[in-house]
Order: sequence, then C-alpha cells, then structure tokens
Amino acid sequence: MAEITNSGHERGKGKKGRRRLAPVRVDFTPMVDLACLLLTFFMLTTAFTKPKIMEVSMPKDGTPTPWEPRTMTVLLDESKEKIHYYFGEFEPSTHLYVTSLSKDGLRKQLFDKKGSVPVLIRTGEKARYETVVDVIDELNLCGAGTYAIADMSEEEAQFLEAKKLTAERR
Amino acid sequence: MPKIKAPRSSPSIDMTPMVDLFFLLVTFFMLTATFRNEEPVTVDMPKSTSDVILPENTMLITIDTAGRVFYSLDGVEVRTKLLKDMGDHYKINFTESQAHTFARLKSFGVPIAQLPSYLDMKPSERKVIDKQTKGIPIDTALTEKNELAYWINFGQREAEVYRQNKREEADRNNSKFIDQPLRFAIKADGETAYKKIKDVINIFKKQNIFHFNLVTTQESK
Repeated sequence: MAEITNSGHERGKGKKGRRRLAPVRVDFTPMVDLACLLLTFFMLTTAFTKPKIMEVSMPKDGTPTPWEPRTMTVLLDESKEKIHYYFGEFEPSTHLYVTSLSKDGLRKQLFDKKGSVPVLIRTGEKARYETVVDVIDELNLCGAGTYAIADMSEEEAQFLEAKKLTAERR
Repeated sequence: MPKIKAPRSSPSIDMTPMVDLFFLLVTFFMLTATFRNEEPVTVDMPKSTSDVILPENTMLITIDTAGRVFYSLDGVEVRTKLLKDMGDHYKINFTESQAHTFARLKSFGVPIAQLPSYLDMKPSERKVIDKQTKGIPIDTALTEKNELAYWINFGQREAEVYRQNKREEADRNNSKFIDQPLRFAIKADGETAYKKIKDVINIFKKQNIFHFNLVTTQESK
C-alpha cells in the first residue's frame, strides 16, 4: 500500500560506496484491518454499556389480593434451581408442585394456562434477589397477568418445608 | 480495422483518505466512549431479558451482597441543593468545597455524620472508606436513623423543583421542554438476600413510590 523511498541521499556518500538500497515497500493492509476492528469495537461497546432495567410496580399496601382458584402462588426459598408453587387458596391439603426456571419449566407452565394468570410471589427468609428477578422475568416474557410480591407466611414456610421433597414435578 | 487497445495501466487507488477517515472515526469513538464512573462497590447484577435502557434522570440505590446501601442521584444542581437540605435537617454545615465534591460524586454510602470528612478526602482515601463502610443507615420506621428515607424524600423533592424550574424557563423563552421525570432504580447483586431489597422497597413504599426499576444485565430470551 505504501512505499518508502530513500533515493537522493546516497550519492557521494561514504568511503565504502554503499549500494543503493532497493525501495522498501511496506504493506499497510494489516494496519487498516486493525483500525477497522478498533472502530467496530468502539462503536459496539459504547452502545452496550448502558445498563438495562426491568420495570416493577408494587401494589399499594392494604389492598388485599383477591383469591382465585387460578391464582398461582410461587414460594421462593434459597434454592436456585427449584421453584415450588401451588394453585388456589392455601390449605394444608393443597398440592405442591415443583418446576425449574428453564424454558420448559415455569415458562411452559404459564403458557399452558392460556390467559392471564394472577401470580403471587411469596419470598421466604433466605430467598435470593436473583431468583425473584428470574421469576419476574419469566412472568414478563409470558405476558402473565398481574403479579405481586409478598412475604411467605409462617404456615406457608412450614408447608414448604414439609412438602418440598414430595412435590410433584411439572 | 482492428481495434487498437490503448495500453491500460492497472488502476491504482490511493487509499490514504480512507485510512485517514478510519483513524478519525476511531479517535472520535474513543473519545466519546464515556468512562464508567468509579463506583464504590462492584455489583454482580442478575440477568433479565428486558432491553429497556436505564433512563437519564434516575435516583439509584445500590445494594451489595452484604446489604450495604449506596445512594446516587443525577444532576449537579439537584445534588447541591439536596446536600444543603440534608445538612439543614441533620444540623450539619457543609462547606463550599464539600458541596462541590458531593455534586460531582456518583454513588456514596456513608452515614451523614461521616459525610463531611468523607467529602474532604482524596479519591484514593475514599476508596478505602468505601470498602469498610456499612452503607447508608436504613430503618423500618421513619426515625432519624432511617437516613435513606430522608435522602430519598429530599432528593425527590429537589428533582421535582428542578423539573418545574426547567419547565417554567422553557415556557418563558418559548423553547422546547423535554420532560424527564425522576425515575427510581435499584441495583443489587444477584446473591443479595431478597430481604435487604425488600427493606429498601418498603422505604420506597412509605414515600409513596410504587413504580421503580431493577437494573439487570442483558440475557438472551
């Protein structure tokens, strides 16, 4: 791409009578490639450094959540992989299900329900923020209906402990 | 008659202008890439598939794994006024230089009693404090100990005043007013116990803030 010339200086030089050097040809193609690469890199990184957000709305305190037979209550504890949930109102005889956060776990469950399902997220003592965000993310993806986050009651915590291991996998 | 082909020399394009342009663009992007603000604490955010970008005018509460709370608010003027309000409330006098430093800080997490000395320090000393600090004190009730509630309340008020002033100014000059309402965001580590975030959310609720954003990293669906 470029040529470095060194003519015109060699005449009358030196005792040894140096040979005139052949013109050096330097190929600048790799340099242009690098410039191209750097450019692309900076163009993309300035676009991606803005952090993303997830919008959340909390219900005002004091509004009681209406119980419906379809209401899915998700119980969250420290487990990252397993999500336990049940439907309808809480009773000692309620059936507990367990699923995962993968594509054919909670997401499939919500899709199968057809129509918006009101979801209640109950967090236990050791529930992790990441799990809550993941569950809300799944709900947003499936276009689930309303959701609310609340604390797990004592009875629910005991219920979860007792039935955790025998929960039906869905 | 036989066609006489004029001897063609292979066309040689001088690529110099193209390379010049490349370097110009690289330099431009290198300069406009804004430096990430020195944050007092690094947080490993959980992933979500949301691709809504964090808006400009935000009040950001950062919570790390230990539950330490850091606070940040956009806007130099708003921050200066906010510091004055907090100083008046807690009966602490902040000097001009402290107010100047505060207005340009990003997130901070020290109790208000330590704030004057924190602001007087050099950035390297502040980093040391940031590692050891317990964050902004929070409390479940609206007591004096619940400093975060006052930061949020005064911050919200000053942001609203600023917005009103901008609107009136635009009306007077007949110029365009770009409305940027204050948004609230929580940035927390994935491993943080949800309880700590719940405490901050409850403080928000007590201030009648029910809409907020959770800052997450990108995840493909």
